[in-house]
Amino acid sequence: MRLLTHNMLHCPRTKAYPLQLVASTCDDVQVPFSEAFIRRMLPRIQWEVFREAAAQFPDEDMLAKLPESTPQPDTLDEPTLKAIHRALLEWHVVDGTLKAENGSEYAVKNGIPNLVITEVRKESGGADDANSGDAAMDVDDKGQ
Amino acid sequence: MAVVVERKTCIAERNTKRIRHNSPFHTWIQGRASRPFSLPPRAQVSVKFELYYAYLCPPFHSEQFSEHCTTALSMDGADGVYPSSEDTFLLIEALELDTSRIVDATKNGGLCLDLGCGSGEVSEALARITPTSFCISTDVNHLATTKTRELLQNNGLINVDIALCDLFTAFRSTVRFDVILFNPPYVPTDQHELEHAIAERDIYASWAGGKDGREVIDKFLATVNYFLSDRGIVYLVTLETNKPNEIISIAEVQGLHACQVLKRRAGIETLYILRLGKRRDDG
Ligand SMILES: C[S@@+](CC[C@H](N)C(=O)[O-])C[C@H]1O[C@@H](n2cnc3c(N)ncnc32)[C@H](O)[C@@H]1O
Repeated sequence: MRLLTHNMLHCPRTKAYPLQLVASTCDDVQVPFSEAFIRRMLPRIQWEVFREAAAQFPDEDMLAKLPESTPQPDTLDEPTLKAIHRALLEWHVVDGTLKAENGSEYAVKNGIPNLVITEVRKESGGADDANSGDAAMDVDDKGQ
Repeated sequence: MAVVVERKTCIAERNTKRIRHNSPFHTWIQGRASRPFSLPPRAQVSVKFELYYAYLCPPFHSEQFSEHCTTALSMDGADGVYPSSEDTFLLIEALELDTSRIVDATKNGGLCLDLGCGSGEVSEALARITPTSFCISTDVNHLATTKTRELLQNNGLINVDIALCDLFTAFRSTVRFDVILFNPPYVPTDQHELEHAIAERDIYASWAGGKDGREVIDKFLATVNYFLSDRGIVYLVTLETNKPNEIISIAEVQGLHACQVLKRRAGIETLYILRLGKRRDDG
């Protein structure tokens, strides 16, 4: 999972945004640099969320080049664009957790975030319970 | 067009392998009522799976198949993931025919979404057609996401991310995609089967569409326009049974332009590829 994807995800239960990223394993895969692409994506990114998530990657050099606040398109120089490219597309979260403020957690395993939710079937009680609107919900933890 | 020809050959090859002679399906189909898609309520998964297939391929009763009918089918789908089929290839063909439109919609870099990626072949085709885009492939079935990741990795496609999620529910409402693909579960089924698909998110999710095969499609139609950029286009696979004209009307009510781009007979059913878009000339 790249930060471009992370930036778009919210909690499927409550729509809480952002999901706080905690990365336990990361990977770094080179991607051809395209300035046009980065410029097109900038307006679609929530900058603060992106910048905070990027701090999960062990790359001080890159982090130092990411501006604190949303950069203006005309002030972007090449080193900054390349740092954004790196944080957005080259660094992968392989394993980790996405945490919503309500306490829900979603796992990232082998690069794939799992954002499906399952209703917890009650062991006892009527079979219909699971379908009632406020049935307890739980994060699905099927293996990947 | 070499790719298209290659795909067609591939389809022809698959069809001959599709129905195993004397398989549970083969036996069952002989006693079947003529009503299409009426599934025995709790039939074995393998029977249902093969039945589903039969409607998407040329006549299955002819002897010519039995020669080749070995284990191909039981292997297909045995990994719990929808194997690429006629609908998959028809969607890919539509994307190939529409390459210039897709390239235009993603000029200078786009964001694309392949919903319900299954085995990943559609994602792969999309990632190739628009190499300057970033694509996300999603599915509710974790086996499908894993399989798609393997396919993309083996083909060295690095412009795709994968996520396990249900339709658009995991995307913040301000996300806009330039291309959205969906080959949905479109087979009409009873509620029992649809509920199974929703609860288990297994192979049933690849076909179970509930009433008229429209229940998942309708959920998709209700939100797709919010997730589409101004230059965005959607490609949606449907069956005749899903009432494609009604789908087009629903899309139009949502403010989208819609049209049919490809139509092909497959077995007793007819597959349609619909294109929806915000710009007038996309519909
Ligand atoms: C007909 S298969 C198509 C697979 C692949 N795209 C292809 O063309 O071969 C439908 C796929 O959609 C997935 N699916 C079903 N319901 C879904 C939902 N609500 N959200 C995301 N994916 C879903 C299924 O698991 C299955 O992989």
